[in-house]
Amino acid sequence: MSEWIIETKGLTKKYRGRSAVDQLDLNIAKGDIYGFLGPNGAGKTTTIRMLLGLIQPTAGSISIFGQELNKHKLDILRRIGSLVEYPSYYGHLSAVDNLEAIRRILSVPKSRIDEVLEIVSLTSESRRPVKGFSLGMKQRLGIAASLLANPELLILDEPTNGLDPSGIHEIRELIKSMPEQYGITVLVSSHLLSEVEQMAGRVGIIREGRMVFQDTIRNLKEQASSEISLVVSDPEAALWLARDTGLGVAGTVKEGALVFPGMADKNVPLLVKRLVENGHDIYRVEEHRKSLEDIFMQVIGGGDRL
Amino acid sequence: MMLRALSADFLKIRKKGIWLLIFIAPIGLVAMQALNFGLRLDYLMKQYADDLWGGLIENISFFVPISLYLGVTLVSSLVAGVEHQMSSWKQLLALPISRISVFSAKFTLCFLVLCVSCLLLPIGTALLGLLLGFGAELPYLDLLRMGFASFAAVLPMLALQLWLSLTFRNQSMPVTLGVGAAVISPFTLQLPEWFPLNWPVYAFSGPHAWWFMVAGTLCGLVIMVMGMLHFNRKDVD
Repeated sequence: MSEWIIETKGLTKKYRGRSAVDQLDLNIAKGDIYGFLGPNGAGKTTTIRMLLGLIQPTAGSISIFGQELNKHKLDILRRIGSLVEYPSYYGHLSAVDNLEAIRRILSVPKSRIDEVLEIVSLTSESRRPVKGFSLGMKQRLGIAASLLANPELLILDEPTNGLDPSGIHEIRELIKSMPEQYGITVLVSSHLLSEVEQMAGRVGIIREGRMVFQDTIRNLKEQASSEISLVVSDPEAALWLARDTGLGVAGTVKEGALVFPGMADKNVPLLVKRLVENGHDIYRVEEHRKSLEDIFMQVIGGGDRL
Repeated sequence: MMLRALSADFLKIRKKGIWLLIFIAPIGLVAMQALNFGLRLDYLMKQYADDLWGGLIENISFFVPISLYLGVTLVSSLVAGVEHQMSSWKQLLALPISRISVFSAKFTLCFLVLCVSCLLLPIGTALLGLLLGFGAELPYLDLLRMGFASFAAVLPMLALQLWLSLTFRNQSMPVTLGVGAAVISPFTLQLPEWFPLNWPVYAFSGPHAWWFMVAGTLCGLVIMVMGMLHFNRKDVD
């Protein structure tokens, strides 16, 4: 993981003294799908606009493909495809003409237009004016436009925003196929963890302009601690008994159930056996695992939420 | 690079009404004089007896500056509107093309389509003159100067309007300014000739028309470069 495609150091953007993005260190590896997460207004789009040279950072450096962005902007942009927030298009033109307007600037062969329309399955609708397209189709057209120049890096800002479940699924499958089929590295931002967890290898979570978590999805999941809860006939007495077993488990009574956080597997049958031998009725033994969504809320909430 | 952007821009302005505007304006000016001369041909023939072509050109040229102000305003706004409408700036400027090229292409686009108008005007005028039987000795230079001399003097306005239209998403400010300039321009003739809104008039009919053409071109270039530098640095939302 030594080769970073995108590396930012201390990236900061201030608007009238307020930091929209604050000291952000972003590291994205080659061939990865990087999920860039955060609630609305956390600074995701601002960061992405800085990565694309649309806005100037107040401080910090951006290096993409190992080159400084502000020195080699056009060379870098030539290798990037992007889709920023809601789709950009020329409504009065057909899908083909929309792509043609971009193709003329990129000067790639005309055949690329048919190829990218094929990839996003818009070939049959390519002659209609885009203003009559559904949001999902416009979004797919945006992705087609971003693929036009055969990019090595795809930057997609909230590509599934406002889409229906089947549209989300379609775009997700499309994104997943990028590294496998075309060797493209993808940066995809979203405010929904559930959307990203199914495709991303690494995630960065940003809150109020600061990076609060940056690691693999797997490591994020490992933070999800589990707890065992037992519903028994007499919780108070059972708790005293459990503390007395010598198993070293510290439990509490919560809503009429015994709760033991982080209990080892081998201790569970020992505890149950002990309780049964002492005449307790056990109605249920359950494991509660924190969902990724809970962790996400915990991370972005940061404890200072009302 | 600029040419690639320009070719893309020509594609984008299709079906946007820009070409309609470009054709309607000169045809309208000529049609107005066709009506004027058609209704009172005998009277006007007598009045301009020693220079029939000059009379026709003079009558049309009254309306050229105001048309140019309106044309410059509307064309700039429409050209910028194509990108503003569906916020295509973020897509366009994230492409591997310099902002200088993007800006130059937009300016060149406006300049070229307005040149088409300035060329259609003398062609229409010549046809009208021939139709009215003013003789085959066409005053070519004056016909061409009628549109292009004033256009040169109005270039600062084009540069300014395009800059404003590209900068503000809401087009009401630049359009109000441009239409306002067009409306008051006939009245500022009472002010000295160096007053900028008067340049298009004196670039055609003044004793030293060349001054105003050159001043307009230079001033237009300066404002264009200023707009370009600003566009190159500004944040795109």
